[in-house]
Amino acid sequence: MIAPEELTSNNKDDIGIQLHGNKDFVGTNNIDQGSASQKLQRVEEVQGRANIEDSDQVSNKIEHSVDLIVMPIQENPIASSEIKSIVPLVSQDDQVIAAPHIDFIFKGQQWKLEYCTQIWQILQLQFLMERAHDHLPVIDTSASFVWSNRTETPSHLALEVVLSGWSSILDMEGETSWVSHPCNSAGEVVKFETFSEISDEGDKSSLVSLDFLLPDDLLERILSYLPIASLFRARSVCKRWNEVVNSRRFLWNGNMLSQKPWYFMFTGSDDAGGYAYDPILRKWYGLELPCIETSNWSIASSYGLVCFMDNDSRSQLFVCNPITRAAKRLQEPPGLKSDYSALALSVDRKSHCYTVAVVKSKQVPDDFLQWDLSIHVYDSETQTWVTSMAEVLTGWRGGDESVVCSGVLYCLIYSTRILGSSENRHGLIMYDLCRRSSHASLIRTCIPVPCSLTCGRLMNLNDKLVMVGGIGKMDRPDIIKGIGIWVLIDKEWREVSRMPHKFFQGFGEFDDVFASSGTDDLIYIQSYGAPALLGFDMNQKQWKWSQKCPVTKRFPLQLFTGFCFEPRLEVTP
Amino acid sequence: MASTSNSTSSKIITLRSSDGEVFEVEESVALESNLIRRMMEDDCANNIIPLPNVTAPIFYLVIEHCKKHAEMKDNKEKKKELRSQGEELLKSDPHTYSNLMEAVNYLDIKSLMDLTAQWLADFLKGKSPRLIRELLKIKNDFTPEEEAEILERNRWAFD
Repeated sequence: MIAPEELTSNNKDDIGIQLHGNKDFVGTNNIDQGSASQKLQRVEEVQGRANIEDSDQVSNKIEHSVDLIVMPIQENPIASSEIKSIVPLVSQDDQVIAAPHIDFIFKGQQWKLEYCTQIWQILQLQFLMERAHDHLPVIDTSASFVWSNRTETPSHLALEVVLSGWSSILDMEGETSWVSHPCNSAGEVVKFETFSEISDEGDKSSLVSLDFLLPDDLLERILSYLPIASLFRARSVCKRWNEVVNSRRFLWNGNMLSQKPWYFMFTGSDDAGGYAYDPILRKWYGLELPCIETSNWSIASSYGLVCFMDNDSRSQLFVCNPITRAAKRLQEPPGLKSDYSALALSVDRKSHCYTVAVVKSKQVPDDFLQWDLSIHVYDSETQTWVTSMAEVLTGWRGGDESVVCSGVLYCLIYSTRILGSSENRHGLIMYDLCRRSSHASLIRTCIPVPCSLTCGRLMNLNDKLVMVGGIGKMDRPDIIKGIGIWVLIDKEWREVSRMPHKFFQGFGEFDDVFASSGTDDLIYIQSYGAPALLGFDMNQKQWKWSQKCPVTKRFPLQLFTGFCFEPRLEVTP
Repeated sequence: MASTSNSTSSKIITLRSSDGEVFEVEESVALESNLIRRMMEDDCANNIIPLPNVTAPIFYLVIEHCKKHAEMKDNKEKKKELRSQGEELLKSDPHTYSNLMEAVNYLDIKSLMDLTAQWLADFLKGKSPRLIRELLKIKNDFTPEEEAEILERNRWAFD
């Protein structure tokens, strides 16, 4: 281990680029999940060299070493490289922690830079960092970096690579405990001690293992404050932590942290892969959904569970928890094969029992105006389907939009008549799932939508029925001119908000039909034509773009879609 | 120590720590503790209330933090300050942190419970399991296979 004093005495003119193990990561842009074991191996090698794992040093003296990569400005790398994409700044909690990434090509290789502070500074300073993930002496794909410019001469810029999470400590310790050091001769990665205070011989208290000191109930309490991704990581710290997280008590007491609903965006229409967005941490996680095969399946979600139904045979029906991947296949719903089918799910917050409702619509043979509409309800307690309602609608048909709200099933219906431009083509019918009366007339419950819509999406926000609709143009009601949000109170629509023009335009060309879903107090809206995601907070009445989604457009008519769900560990189908 | 020169004639509660030190605390502060509240409801309030599970230095810390927490309400600056102080304590003296947490748990002070739990949660946030182990001196008792399995099952969280 090289002492800091030695490092500081190094000649600053020696600064060079340290591309350690360069050949190992040629041309890859993404973090290869499969190579985790390779990485581990390399990590061991690095550590072996630094003698960290050796001996009693660890227990007597904590030595956190980091790799330091320094590069002279003369290289002017970003100027000579092609920047492929930049994700803007974000702030997390009260602190301004930027989490941008830059993809760029330098010297014929593709590099990716993630998580650094002050991206604008980097651009001004025009300097680059290679894929530092592979340089870190810790197997940690969530590593973070902190940039600094501490050397006196403006021609030399230093970059300190900091292990994940240390950045907050860096703020605490103040600037003085961090020194920038030039690297020594080329080819070798310099290690230096970062935390002189911790490694201080006198500080024996930090050797006490906090784990032993904290009883289970306190640990449980602490872990319950963690965001869900951190919680998953905490599980793999040790057996005891894993047990605490998995314990029934922990799961049922729930997370103390207010979790906001996430949004899952499919990568493409032909598979179930995609990314889930956490609006609190403003982070996308690569997530593989269980059960579902393609993105055009019907999807409904409620309190941590998601229901999927295939759109061809409509015989494959699953309920799953997308976070824990627990899943259950349900029996095929009864009734004939339908032309249209709407799926709704409702989970009881206390008992975790759930109800699945399928609204089927089938045209009456040889009749243009008449449609058979039937409601089929599955109850997780009895594990059976019941056909609770069937009615023939005249001039209307059901579609694929329904939701359960306070025990009432709401369903959008569509006019099958040829209408004048001023008439509404959508209506809302409702059916009380608690009473399940088979005598009630559905069409009598019909409420017209507030204005001519190109498309309507129903959602349950804190037990209130909310509709997001594409508002049609006056003369061309099938062409979208804006987006409105309404809430149904006492069978009356009340407008909550309209999407401001700048956001509407921000999508590029907004499709007449789009995806929108929400839960709790958050609504997500996405155009089928672009992987952009906009959120609307019902409480604060605020519109906000999500962090840029890693999903990219690969061909011109690619369809983007997704759904909202609550990340909850405790609910199992 | 805790009896401030507050003009309002609030009642003073006398408490005794496990090591025999006697504290005089304003009722409003003492009532933050549900344990003390329950004891007072059971009519032990006229005498000195014994706290057999809390030592004087830790009790001192508890009271300090109760006061700070009261000041912190609606004060973002203070909130931030208290948060960073917590991190400092956690880093420099985990033993005291743990004692404080246990005392808070014993005294059943909801506000401080949230605060102290939040400190450690903040500290753990965004850190890799390996780093957490390293920082808190926790031994990894998983077999490599078990660890790989957990990692595989929750791969998304490690991205």
